[in-house]
This record gives sequence, C-alpha cells and structure tokens, in this order.
Amino acid sequence: MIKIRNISKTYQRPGEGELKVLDQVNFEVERGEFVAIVGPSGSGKTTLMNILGLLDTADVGDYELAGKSISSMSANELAKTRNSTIGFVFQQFHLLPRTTATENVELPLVYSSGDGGDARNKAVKALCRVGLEERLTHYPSELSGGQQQRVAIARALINDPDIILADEPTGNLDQVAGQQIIDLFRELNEAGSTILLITHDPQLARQAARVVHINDGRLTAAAPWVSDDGATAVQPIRTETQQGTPA
Amino acid sequence: MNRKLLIQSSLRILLRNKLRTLFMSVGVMIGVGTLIAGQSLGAGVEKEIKQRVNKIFSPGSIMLVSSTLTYSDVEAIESQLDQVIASAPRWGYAEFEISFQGSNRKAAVFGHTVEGETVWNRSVTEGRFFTSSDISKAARVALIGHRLAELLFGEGNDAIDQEIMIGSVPFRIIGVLEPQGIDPHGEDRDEDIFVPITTAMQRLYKSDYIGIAKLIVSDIEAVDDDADEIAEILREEHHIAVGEDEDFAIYTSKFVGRMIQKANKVLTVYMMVAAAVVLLVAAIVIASIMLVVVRERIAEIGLRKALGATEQNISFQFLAEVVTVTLISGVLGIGLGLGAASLVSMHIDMPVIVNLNQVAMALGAALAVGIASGIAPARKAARLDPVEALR
Repeated sequence: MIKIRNISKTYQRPGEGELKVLDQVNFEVERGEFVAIVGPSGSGKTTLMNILGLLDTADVGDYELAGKSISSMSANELAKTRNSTIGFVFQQFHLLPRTTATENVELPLVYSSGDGGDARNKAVKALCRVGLEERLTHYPSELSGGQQQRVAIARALINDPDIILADEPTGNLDQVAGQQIIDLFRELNEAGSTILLITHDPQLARQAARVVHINDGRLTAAAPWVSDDGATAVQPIRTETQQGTPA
Repeated sequence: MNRKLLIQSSLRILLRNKLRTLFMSVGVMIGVGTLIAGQSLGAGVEKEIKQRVNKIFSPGSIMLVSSTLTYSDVEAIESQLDQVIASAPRWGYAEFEISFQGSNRKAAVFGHTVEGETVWNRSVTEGRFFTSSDISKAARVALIGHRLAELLFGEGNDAIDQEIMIGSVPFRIIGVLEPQGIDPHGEDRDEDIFVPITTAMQRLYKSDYIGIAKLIVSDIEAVDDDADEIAEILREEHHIAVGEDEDFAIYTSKFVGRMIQKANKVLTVYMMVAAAVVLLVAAIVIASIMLVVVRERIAEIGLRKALGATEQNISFQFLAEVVTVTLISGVLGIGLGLGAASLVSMHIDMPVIVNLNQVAMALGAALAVGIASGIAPARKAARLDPVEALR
C-alpha cells in the first residue's frame, strides 16, 4: 500500500543552518494494516505524515502509493490521488464552521470525478458508520469534540480511501472520547480499512497492530523509552500532552 | 470537480455570512443602479425632448433665421427649389402690451401665413385659422393661446369675437390655439398670440423684414443638402460675395437632432463616469474584503487541498463566490436603478426607457467587477501551501 525508500527532508532555518527532519527513512504499510508511528514532537512525524499524505514532497527518495510512484505526478494528479486514495483525520478536526455534519462529510465529493448525485446518501451512510445517524444536520458547534472527530472520520471514509492517515486524532479530546476514536479506528480496520495513526503517545500507539517509532528523523522498531512491559521508562518531551500517563 | 456541489457549498457560505455578503454587494448595487438609472433616464429624456422639439422641428424641416429676411427671399427659394413642398414665414416674437377691458398683460405676438397652420404645426381648437383673405387684407384678427384667453377673459368665458388691443391696435379674436405647453426655453407657448403676417408687418412691427421662415422639404434625409442650396440662394438674394460672412442662419431638423443627442450624451457620460467610479471603489472594497476572507479561511483552504482540491478548484471557488455576489448585486442594482429612475421621472415628467443593451451592459459591469476584484484573492488562496494552512 505504502512503500517509501530512503526518504530525506531538510529544512533551511534562517540563521541556524540546516535541520534534517527526515533521514533516510524506509517504511512500508500493507493493505489492511493498522500501523502507529509514534514519536515525540520535533521527531519529524508530522513531516513524514505530510509527505505520506502528498501534502509535501521529500528532497530525495522514492514513494510508491497504492502501486503508483508519486515522484512523476503533477500537482493536479497529486490532488486527485489525495482525493481518491487518502482519507485525512486531523488533530483540530478541520470541519467547516456553520456547515452541517452531512455537508461537511460531502466535501471530498466536490473534488471527485463522480457526478455527486448520491452525495447526500453517501454522506449519511458514512455518518452512520461512525455512529452519528442522530446528528446529521447538527453544526460542528453543536457537537462534542469526540462527535466532531467522528464527523471528520466519516469525511475521510466517504471516498472509500485506500488508506486513512490520522495525525494525532485524539490530541484535542479527553481520554474517554479519545479511546472511543481509537476503538472506532480498530473497528474500521477490522472491516478492512488500512489505517496509519501518528501520535506522540506510546500508550495510544500500542493499541495499533504494529508500532513504528520515529526519533530525530529516523525510524526504529523499538522505542528507547518504552520497556518490554510497556511502562514508561523515559519521559519523552511532551508539549502537546492533554492526557495523563496511565500508571 | 463537481461544480454543482461546489456552488451549493459556496452559496451556503455566502448566506451564512450575511453581513459580509451585504458589504460586498452594496457598492455594486449602487454602481449598477447609477449606470442603469443614468442610461434609462438619458434615453427617456432624449426621446421626450426630441418629441417636443419635433413639434416645431419636424423631420424634414428647415428654419431660416435672419434680421434681413424678406418675403421675396422665401418666394425665391420656393420657386428655385422643387424639394421645398411648403413654406411659412413668421414674424415674431417681440412682446406687446395686450389689454382687454382695462386689464393688461404682456404676450409674444407672432405673424403667420395660412400655411403656418400646417408648417408650424399648430392649429386651433376653437374658431378658425387665418384665410388668404385675412392675409391679403391685413385683417385685424387674432388667434389666442388658451391660457392667455383664460387670464384675459376669465375661465369658461368664450374667447371668440372678443375685442382686444395689441399695443394701440384693436383686434378681434377668431380662434383659440392648440395647447403646446412649455417650450425648451421655458416659455409658455399657451400665452402666445398669432396675427396675420401682413398685419404684423404693417401695423405692429412696421417693418419689411419677416425674421424667420420655416420650410418643409420632400426628402427628410436630404435636409442638410437642401439647406446648402438654400444658403446659396440666400447669398445671391442678399448679394453676399464669396468669403463674406452670411447675415442669416439655417437650422435643419437633422442639425437640431444632433445637438440634442450631443447635449444628452454629455449627461449620460457624466452618469456613466460616476457609475464607473462607484464600481471601481466597489471592486477595491470587495477585493480587500476577500483578501481578509482568504486569511480567515486559511484552514478551510488547506483542508480543501488535502481533500483533493487543485489550485484551479480553489481559485474557481473564490472567483465563483465573488462573481455570484456581484451578479446578484447587479440584478438588484438594476431594480434599484429603475426604481430611482422612475421616481425621478415622475418628478420631472420624463419617461424612462429601458432596453436589453443597458441591462446586458449593467450585468457585464457587475461581472467585470466580480472578476477584477476576485482574481487576486482567488490566486492568493490557490497558492497557499496546505501544510502551512493546516497548521
């Protein structure tokens, strides 16, 4: 599904020289997998997510998504691929304000090649899948954080994407609502969706079928701060933490 | 891209930001309103003035004006030019003291021939016009405008056969002139007095000169050429050498038509310039509102790009939003302009004339404002980096 080879990305910081965000990253996700990439902030995980989501490009390296090499794609082809292949779930939900749940979920269909005639039906179906059949005409401001994130997940599902990219999807939620979102991802994964979860929280990541760690722009199989029994040995730097660390 | 869904979502956004949409539309509404009001009023005023002037300057008519014009000049023109199908000299228009049973008024007195009735396009509603014997005998008979008749004799009293004094000469009223209203100079033509031209020359003005003559030619279109030939004849009659200044002026119906059009064009151009200034300001206002809107909707733009919008999709959306606002404002502005024009027209008693050209032009202006003001914000939105926008 996803295959990246030797991806590197360097930013120029004015006055501070170069910053190597990703360094020779190799990574694969198979169809039907539920993979978590976990790492502290500043580890390069957001840059990796942006590259995987075709929102950013790597300086060097190859990227194959759903069997196609993306390095030769034009900007418009990249946009089309984002629309049909990837479902995004963001930390800040990114729902359009003053727009109903159904209308928000319809949004990707605006940029699809289909005629959009059954957009309403598809959106309602997607909202039912995330358990929001009672909230179809609610505005984001009338929904709880967890419900808003479910609307965003329904939006990610509407085009039947090959992969769902979720960047810190529980970062703005309390623990209960966050766990419900992770449960929803597990359900979707069991029903066949490929899911890539990006988080700073090792406890959350452990609920994925496979965990990959990122630190200083490099991927490693085992985290330096997680011992074998899963307890936190070394406290990672956590600037975005809202959840308490379970004892 | 699915345009139907995109336009639906754009309309929702516009409707859910009513105040902002209103601010964007006001300028276009006023500008387009000014444009359409100026044009429809201008066309109406032009038509009305033409109609009024046509009563005196009917198509195919030529007016000779000269302080040295004589009866024989007019006869020479008629005998030498076959195109001239009718002619009527006129003496006028000095004001005379008119008195009736001790009450005095001033009125313009014109000398007319029998042909005056048709050539000058003014008949009587009561009594009769002059006969050839009135002219040949220099009879002391007069026609009177209905308003002057009312002022002199009182409302409802019969004017026919009343004796009035024009200066020191007694005249008998034989007819009441057709109403004509206020002329373009602001004079009330319903307070005129007509007398036979011979009587005017011999008894009132005591002069051999007739002042003005009106001619009608057969071919309406050739009126300017005929005027040139008339000028030649008059130069001969008046013994004016080549290079010497003429002592007469000739006005044709076509010339007057052109003058009216010119004067009216100045008015219309002023209105259009005013409208253009308003529309320019509107475009600047819309562009700056939209630039703020783009900044405000940065996350939405980033989201749309992540969901698969291309740069073209994003700029189309923002352009479509602006053009939708300006076009709807344009339609409302047309209504506003026509309403204002009708109000003004009721006030000045002029018609409003609307045609498809004006409407098309107004909508074109609204569209142009939309595109001109939307293009920069749309490009700015399209070029946003989704990674930055989503942060």
